[in-house]
Amino acid sequence: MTERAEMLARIARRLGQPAPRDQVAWDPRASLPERPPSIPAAELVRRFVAQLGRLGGKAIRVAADAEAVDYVLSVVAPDVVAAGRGIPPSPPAGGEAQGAAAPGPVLLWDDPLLTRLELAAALASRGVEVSVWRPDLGPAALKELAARARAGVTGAWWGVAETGSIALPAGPGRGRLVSLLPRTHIAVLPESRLVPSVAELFRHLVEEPDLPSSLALATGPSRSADIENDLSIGVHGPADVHVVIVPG
Amino acid sequence: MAGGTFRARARKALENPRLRRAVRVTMNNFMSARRAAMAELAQLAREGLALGDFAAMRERARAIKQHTLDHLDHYLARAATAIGERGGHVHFAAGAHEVGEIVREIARRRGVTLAVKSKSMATEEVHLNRALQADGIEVVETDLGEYIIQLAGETPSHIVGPAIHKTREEIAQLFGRVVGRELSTDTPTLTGVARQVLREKFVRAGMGISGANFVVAETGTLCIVTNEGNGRLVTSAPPVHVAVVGIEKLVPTLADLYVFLGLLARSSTGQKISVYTHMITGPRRPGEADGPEELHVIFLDAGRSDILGTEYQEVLHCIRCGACLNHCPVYRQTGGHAYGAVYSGPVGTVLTPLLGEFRDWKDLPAEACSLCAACWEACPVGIPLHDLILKHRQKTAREGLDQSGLGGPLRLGAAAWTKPWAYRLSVRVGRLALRWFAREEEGGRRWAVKAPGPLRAWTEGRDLPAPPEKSFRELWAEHLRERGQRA
Amino acid sequence: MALFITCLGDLFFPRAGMAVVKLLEHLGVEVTFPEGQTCCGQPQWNSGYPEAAAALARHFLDVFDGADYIVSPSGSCASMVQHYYPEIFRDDPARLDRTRQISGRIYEFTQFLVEVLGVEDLGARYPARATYHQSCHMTRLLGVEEPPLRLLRNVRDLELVPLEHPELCCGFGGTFSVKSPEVSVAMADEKLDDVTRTGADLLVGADPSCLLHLAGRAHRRRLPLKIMHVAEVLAEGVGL
Repeated sequence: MTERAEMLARIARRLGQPAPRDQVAWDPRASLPERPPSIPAAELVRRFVAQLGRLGGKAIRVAADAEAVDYVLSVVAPDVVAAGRGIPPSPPAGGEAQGAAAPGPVLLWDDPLLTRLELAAALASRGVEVSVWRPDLGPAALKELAARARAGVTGAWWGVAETGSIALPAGPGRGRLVSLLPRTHIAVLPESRLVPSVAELFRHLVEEPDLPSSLALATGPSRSADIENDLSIGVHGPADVHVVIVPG
Repeated sequence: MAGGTFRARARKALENPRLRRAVRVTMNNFMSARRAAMAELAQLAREGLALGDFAAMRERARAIKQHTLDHLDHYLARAATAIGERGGHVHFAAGAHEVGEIVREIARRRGVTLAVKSKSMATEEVHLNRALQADGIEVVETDLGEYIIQLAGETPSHIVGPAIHKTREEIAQLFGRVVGRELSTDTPTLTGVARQVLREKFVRAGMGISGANFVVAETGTLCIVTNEGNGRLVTSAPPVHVAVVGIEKLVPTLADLYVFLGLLARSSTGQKISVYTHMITGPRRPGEADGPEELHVIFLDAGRSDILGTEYQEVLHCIRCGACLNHCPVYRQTGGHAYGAVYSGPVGTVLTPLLGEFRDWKDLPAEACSLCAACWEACPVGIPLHDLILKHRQKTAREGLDQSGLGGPLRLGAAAWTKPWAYRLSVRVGRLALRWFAREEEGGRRWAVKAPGPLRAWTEGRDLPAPPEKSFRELWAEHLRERGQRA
Repeated sequence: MALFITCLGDLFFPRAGMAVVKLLEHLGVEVTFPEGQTCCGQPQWNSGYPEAAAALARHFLDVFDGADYIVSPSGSCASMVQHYYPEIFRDDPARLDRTRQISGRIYEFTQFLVEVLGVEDLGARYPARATYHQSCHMTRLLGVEEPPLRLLRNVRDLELVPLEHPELCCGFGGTFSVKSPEVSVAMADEKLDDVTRTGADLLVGADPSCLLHLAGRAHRRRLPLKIMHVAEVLAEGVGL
């Protein structure tokens, strides 16, 4: 196998250097726009909702935490909601229609934002099977749970109005598979975490002292055009993507 | 090395109308989506929401790449250190063989029997699947397009759309064989079958193998971009993640990564951003219940360092977006297989002879390019691909490898045409010769339909108009006389 | 103003050359034709023979030294001088200096009309349904896209219809046309099919090499298509 020193020396030689260089001057500030734009929150919400909608996802701004709970319930258990209110269930946001009551539990991140909403308790009280991503359950059990879950619920770190993207960090209570294996993914996003552009997201990221082990910028439902250029949704990742923008 | 020449393979592709239609439709879709995305980027730039429009972003991207490559020793060391500090393992591979050895060693140690792969040109380049399969390891491509061509035992025809040449009927047959039943050919059914089959592989696999679109030297972050989510699954579900990364994939900082993300999807498919942009900084951390326990990054040279410091260095700017393919009028007629190599289109025409044996691939720069420069115009990192192809042609001529039979006449012609009398004489002779070969048609025009010598290839598909009776020079002389009479 | 007719123009498109002369004289420009001119060296350059190209480039410099403007009816030949001569004379400071002076003064014909003379409307009239083929080197290397279109839009009774894919190469590409004749012809076919779909009966271009290629293929296919250089359309349109 090639040793590190050998490879570096070879490259340095090709570049006409006697030895690998320790110091290099580089100013990365020129890679981002000069100053942050100021756009009112309502406009950011409007753009985010429009953009995600264009991609086949669905974003909704709610005025209060309780409404967020209702929305999540209407997505994961439309039959329960319909039974309670006497209305027919709404179709999913993306992809082909699926039966009203998908099997499997709703898998939630163990996340302060979701705790604030008291989502787990609210769903359980309506008879929905709920599991929370607790590392002490063990990797194997959690993987199996994620593969079986009808929906995954996460809390987004950032939202990007330009693209309709959400940033999902990994962490002990924040399993990666929660937003990957279930067919439906619902992310809760505090309005104050909505930034106008990918550039602004990176302006925040470069300020972070340490990036999470995994940071996924997810933009709408999983898509592919590999079969005769025909767009298909949800080949690997979720087909049905919702973002609930909450106050705060 | 592939068999035959570009010209021979291209001829075969030209006889396949279905392939040509598929390539054309794909390219038209990508081209018009890209155009719209760039218009939208210009609007964003005006609002201060992006660093700049396409031209400005491309200029910055080019500057970043140039700086990084000029200081690659530094940035590679820095990336390796940062990855190590985060608990990742870094390996260096001089060539294809070493990559295979490194991955097999990891697989043996971890008792891996099944590996899932996300699309990666670097692993195609080193034929990693073959190396692992030799050890009895099942390797499954998980990008839908790559999965299709893996089942068919073929190679990708396009960097972004590897299976654009397959019909849904063919795909239904391939998938039907896997699940052991007949399938309908509609997209949701086929996608659903792939999801179901591959899902089980993701959950069972002992190893996930990916490439990386970018590596941030400062933080040791790997950035992997996909639309389907397989890139995230491959790097999240299995206990071991191995990333094979060309040494040219580095960018200095996170801020610099922004510039490339702003260009990549827009140039490639015309999306503002791909569906999943995954940034991986080290393996699973204490307390986390998923993500790989082990992360291995293999930095691959395989001929790249030989390009550093040469007149070809700029080809290492390439971010594999496929824009040059999508805009290449030659690729448009033939698709990717005619290039006979892992990398096709304009960038393949430049890169393949550099990474392989030059004399085996000199037909690509000679035959696969009309020098229209559409590739350069579309390239988000400003690689002058047409000029690099010219450099290949110069090398071919310099090393006496030009077998077209045109070198002699071209050189002789140049020597003669530095003398105006010789030029005038040859034009006169040429005109007479062509007029002699041409046959008169109604309306008084003459066309040659079967010309001799170097012009024979021309008249295989085209007629050659006979030069008019008088050259410009003669008309000009008449004009001067008339002008003199008028004055 | 010195006219650079180019070798293809001299041999195959003398009428287009004369159209340029007549139009410029019509506009009061004094046209000269340096008799010693031959070829810009593009075929050699594009085939990988820079020394052979350099011999012709040196000859070009000697012939056109001192011209206030150099005008050519070929976008690709103008781009050869403007874009590649500096690279040819990279290591020849004296000639590099002369090249820099010349490359600032060489113009493609329509570019000269629009950018130097400020003429966009010649008062021409030419009844036809026409489409315009944009040549690659002229647009991408020389950076001239709009001038021929502006001139054509101002021709009375000329209905100018756009191609669906104006950006696609016609497939000529110099020696490419004989090294890869099958692909070259396929490219010409796609271009001609695009032209046919517009319903145009006239194809106008500003580069003799593309026109030669397209005319050759159109004739082989027996397409009822008239192919003209932009200067011919304009000259005939003003009755010259």
